[in-house]
Amino acid sequence: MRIAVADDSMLTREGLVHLLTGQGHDVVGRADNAEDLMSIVDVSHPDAVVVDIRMPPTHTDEGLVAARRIRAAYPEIGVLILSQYVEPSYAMRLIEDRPEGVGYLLKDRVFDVAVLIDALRRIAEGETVVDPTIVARLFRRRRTADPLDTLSERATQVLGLVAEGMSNHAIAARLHITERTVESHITKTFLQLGLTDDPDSHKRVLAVLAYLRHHGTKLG
Amino acid sequence: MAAPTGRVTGTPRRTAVAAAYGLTTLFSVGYAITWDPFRDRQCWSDCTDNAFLLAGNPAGARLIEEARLATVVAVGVFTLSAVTWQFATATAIARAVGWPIALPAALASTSEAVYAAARLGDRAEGPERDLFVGVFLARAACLTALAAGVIWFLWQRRRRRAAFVTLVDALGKLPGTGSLQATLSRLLGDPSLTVSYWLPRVERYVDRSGRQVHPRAEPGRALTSIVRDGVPLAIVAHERDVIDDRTLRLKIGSAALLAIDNERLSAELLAHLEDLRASQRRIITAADTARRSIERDLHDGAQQRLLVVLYELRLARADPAVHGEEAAALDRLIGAAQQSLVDLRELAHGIFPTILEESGLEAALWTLADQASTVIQIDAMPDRRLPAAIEQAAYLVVTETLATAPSAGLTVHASAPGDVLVLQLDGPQAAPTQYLLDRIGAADGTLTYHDGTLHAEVPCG
Repeated sequence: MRIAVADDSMLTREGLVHLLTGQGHDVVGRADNAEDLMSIVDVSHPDAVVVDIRMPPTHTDEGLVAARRIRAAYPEIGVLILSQYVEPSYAMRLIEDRPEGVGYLLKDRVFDVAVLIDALRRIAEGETVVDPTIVARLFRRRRTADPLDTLSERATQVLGLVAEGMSNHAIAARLHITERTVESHITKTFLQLGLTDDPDSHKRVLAVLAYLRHHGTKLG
Repeated sequence: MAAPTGRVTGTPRRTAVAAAYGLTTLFSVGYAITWDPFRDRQCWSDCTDNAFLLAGNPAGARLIEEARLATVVAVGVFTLSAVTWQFATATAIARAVGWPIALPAALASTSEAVYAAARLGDRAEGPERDLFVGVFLARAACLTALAAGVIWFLWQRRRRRAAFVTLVDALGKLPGTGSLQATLSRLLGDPSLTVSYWLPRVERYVDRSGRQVHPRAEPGRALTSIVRDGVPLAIVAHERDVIDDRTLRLKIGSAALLAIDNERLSAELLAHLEDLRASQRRIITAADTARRSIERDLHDGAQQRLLVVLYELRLARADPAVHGEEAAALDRLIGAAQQSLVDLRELAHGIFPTILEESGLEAALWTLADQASTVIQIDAMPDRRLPAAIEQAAYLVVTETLATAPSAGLTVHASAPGDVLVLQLDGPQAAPTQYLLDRIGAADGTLTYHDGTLHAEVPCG
């Protein structure tokens, strides 16, 4: 896979490059700011980019803005956003735009090479990747008369993996159950929560995330 | 031109007045010593003996007389234009005070100029000629009007001073701040009059509400100090013509001084209060800035280095040569490093999370809702970003209130109609903490608690 890396922290950037090349990927460019990343993308047209949310000059959401520009100009390029914060709203801002081929991972997870490679593979295939920590936090959110409390443990697990952006196939593999069992869990759970099961997996991710974010907390 | 203060101001006017007096003296003396009534054919009105006659010289006397008449025309025209200009550029109050003199003065100077011009054109003046009779009557009327105007003006001024004395004495009995300014303004008929009080302790002037002011003499306005025992008490800024400062100083009696003292004390108190408020705001801003900078330091320093440690540990763990006891030790280290990162993240989140600064109140509250052990329902949110200090205050109201919320949770309702943020929290079971009251107070906001509902209003200006 041809990958571009953008992070203003030299240690993180070089660490990522090291991990990726070690796994046989081709790092076609590295940048410490969003503008340089855009030029690399324009020139080298990588398969995927890994980009830190906070970069110069303002250290706020430059990475997010760059990710949106890349998504708009080159929808076929996968974008993996790295963040040091567990801020669901950042992930939502990215995913709500165009969920296919985007991912949001916490920085302390990306040095786990298996997680990094798996995430890159999934977004290159057009899937959505949401960091499990964020999903877990959304599950932890307290709600009035929480319908999630009525779900079985297995159903909750499945719903969480759906929110992380996994396909039925991947969920089945992760939980060591058949795909048919996964499907039946999803159908039942969605019915219970009043969600419509959209065959489009991206819309499914959004529906679940939106439900987790706002159900029982009003607004939206 | 000297009306109504009795002083002529400005070099051109002073020069003109001095020149007029000088020339008049010169012409009068010259005419007196040269004019011989017996040899003046046009003489009709004052043809008595000239006691000053030294050397009769009809041609010289005539020349002097003509020069005098020309000067009268020039001075008349100058006076007319000067008075007109002065009147046109004066303030409304100065015009109201000055017209009884300015108007007849302008007419009188015109009539004098017309008379002199008529005499220049035709030396044969006489009561039997209509032109001269008309001019004579006009001059007489104008001069009478001028005299009446001066009398009227003086009488008005006297009346104002008398009223001033009465009211200034009454001032000592008037309660409430600002009564000095109101009283002076009313009795002098100058609504723009302001009184500033001198605070010797902080060495500055303040208005009656304690705000710092810088009294300055502006065009057409005058500053008059009110002094006691050589120490300034207050300064009055007023229209220059409404009263002269000597009168103001003389007429302010001891009772009024007491009133001024009272007002000054209350202004000082208010100024002190405003100072305290400002310092409270500065302290809070400094504390917030320090907190945010600690958060940044943690994020950009310690957290980054921990990430590197984690990275190195993972790299070591991925080495196929590592197994058994070594691998288990590395796994423990990785776990510990990861937990440290989580702890650090929570710590760095601090009082104001970065997301509040970056994405605003709504995003920050949703994040808070994710982490809180209490249900947070968000009913409504402003549809725009508000100034950072206001968002921080609002965020703080929610975080500080969370602890007192019942298990049913907290409902947040925020809106920003106009220039004020209105925040309502339903659910808190206790009145707000002093810290919260102080914070909102420092932002000039109000915080009220009634029966499970906390209501905050913070101005955004």
